[in-house]
Amino acid sequence: MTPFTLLGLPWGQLLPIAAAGTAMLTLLYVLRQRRRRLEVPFSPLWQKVLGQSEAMSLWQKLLRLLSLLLQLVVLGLLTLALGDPRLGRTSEGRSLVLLIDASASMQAQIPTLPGKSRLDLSRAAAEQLIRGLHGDDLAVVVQLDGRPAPLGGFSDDERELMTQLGQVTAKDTSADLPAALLLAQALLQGRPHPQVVLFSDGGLTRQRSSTNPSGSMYVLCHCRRRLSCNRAMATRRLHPLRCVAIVAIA
Amino acid sequence: MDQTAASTQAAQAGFDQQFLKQLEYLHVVAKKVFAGKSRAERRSRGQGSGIEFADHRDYTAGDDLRYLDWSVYGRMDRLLLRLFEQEEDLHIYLLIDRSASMRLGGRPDVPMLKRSGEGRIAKLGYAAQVTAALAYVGLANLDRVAIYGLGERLSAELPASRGKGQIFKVFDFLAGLRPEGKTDLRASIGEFVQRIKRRGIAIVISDFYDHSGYEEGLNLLRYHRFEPAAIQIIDPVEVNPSVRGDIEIVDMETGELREVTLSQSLIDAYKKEHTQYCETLAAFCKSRSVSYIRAETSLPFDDLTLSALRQGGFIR
Repeated sequence: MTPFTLLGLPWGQLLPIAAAGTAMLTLLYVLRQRRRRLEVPFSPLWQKVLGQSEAMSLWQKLLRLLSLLLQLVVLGLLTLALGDPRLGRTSEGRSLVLLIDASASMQAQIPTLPGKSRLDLSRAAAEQLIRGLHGDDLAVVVQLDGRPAPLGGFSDDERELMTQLGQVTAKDTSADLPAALLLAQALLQGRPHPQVVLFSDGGLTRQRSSTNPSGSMYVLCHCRRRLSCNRAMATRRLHPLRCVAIVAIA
Repeated sequence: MDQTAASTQAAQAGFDQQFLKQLEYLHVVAKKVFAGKSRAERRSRGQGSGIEFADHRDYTAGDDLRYLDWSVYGRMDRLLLRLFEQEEDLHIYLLIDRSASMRLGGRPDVPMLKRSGEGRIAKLGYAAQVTAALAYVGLANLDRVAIYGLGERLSAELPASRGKGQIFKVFDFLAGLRPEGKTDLRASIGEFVQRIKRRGIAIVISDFYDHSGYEEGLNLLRYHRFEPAAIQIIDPVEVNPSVRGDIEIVDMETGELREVTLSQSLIDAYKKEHTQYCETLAAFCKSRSVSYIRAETSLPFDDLTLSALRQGGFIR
């Protein structure tokens, strides 16, 4: 168990960055150590003066070494900041990508719930999921439309995730699920327990059939309508993500 | 040597005709009276055939009748012989330091006797110009001028010569000097006093940065009854170094290295130490009646020659 978990870049990327930075700083330090030459006609005059300041010179050498150490510490902290470390977290938590279908069909009103659109239901379901996240879970909201894009970074903060969710707006376009799954894969790369949760009305199947890289996925969620769910399940070979949850909105 | 080449050579050494003319009116001052060999323009201990009247003495058989003072004979009826000052030549020895420390201030791409674009000149170049000026003053007064290079030992000798015509040999000799080796005034002046039997003025032109001390060298000249004089040449940068920060100090003569971080306080301490060193040399010279002058290479050498050396009592 590590005392903190990285939300940003993983160790695999941080370590090469830190190594390169350390090498560069050390090189600069060594280059700085190469002193300019000053030719003097009579060094005994200097020796008399320098003899008195020998102790000061040792202190200056120590200061110089300390300055290198300080620079390395600052570099280490900056590199670690790229990893976005969080204290008190474990690596047991899940990493969730919440794909919120924001295609044109999601603007449709639900007959049984006047004034509520499919997108509203999706948001409500996503909110429920976010509230149910464990302390070690991280999530990010991705708007699934013609050009899927994350609406923020991974976070375990409920308010931050709710803000991301509030930014989802339905567009008059179709949803590009293959692109969204590729994006999700990239976002989940190197993270523990990756999961993708898709909130959709299921009107995605026709597109999906065109791109079908092999792979396995698990469908974990409940469905409001079996048909939609089945349609979604039919897409499980879309992408080689280990775990995909689908919430179908009808 | 034709006139054009000679003029060019003089110009390269920093001499123009007007400056040479001014030098001709100067004389190297000798506090003592030295015995010379040839008739010249210096009063000697002896009496002889000069033009300055000295004294009378009684005529004895065999004396040159031309020196009988007939007016005294007419008034006093005594045969007295007129005596004149014997004017003889003075030997001037110019001992120029050609150790590696005299390279300071020069640049490899600039001829030694020339100032660089920044107005700096190698200490050896400046010393050579001063030497040439003093040599010209001596030669113009029919003194015998010899130049020797000082280093780890006595080297590079220009034998004693007389007459203004010899100045171009002086230019040639000085232009050929290259700074190298350590300064050892005791060894090189020791060699000088052993070799040179004819006494005279010995002007040491050096920075006097001798790791084993300059005192013995100057004392040797005194002990051997030369009349020593010291011209200390220093570069403004060695007095007031402009560099700061992490520096590797290299001794120009010994190659000794020392790493140091130069701060303003360290520079101030060094300046104080340098001033003290120069003042100690001046006090040493004064206490032993050795003429001394300190010259920074930033001072135009004609100003030094026509003004500072006169004030210092080297020439008049």
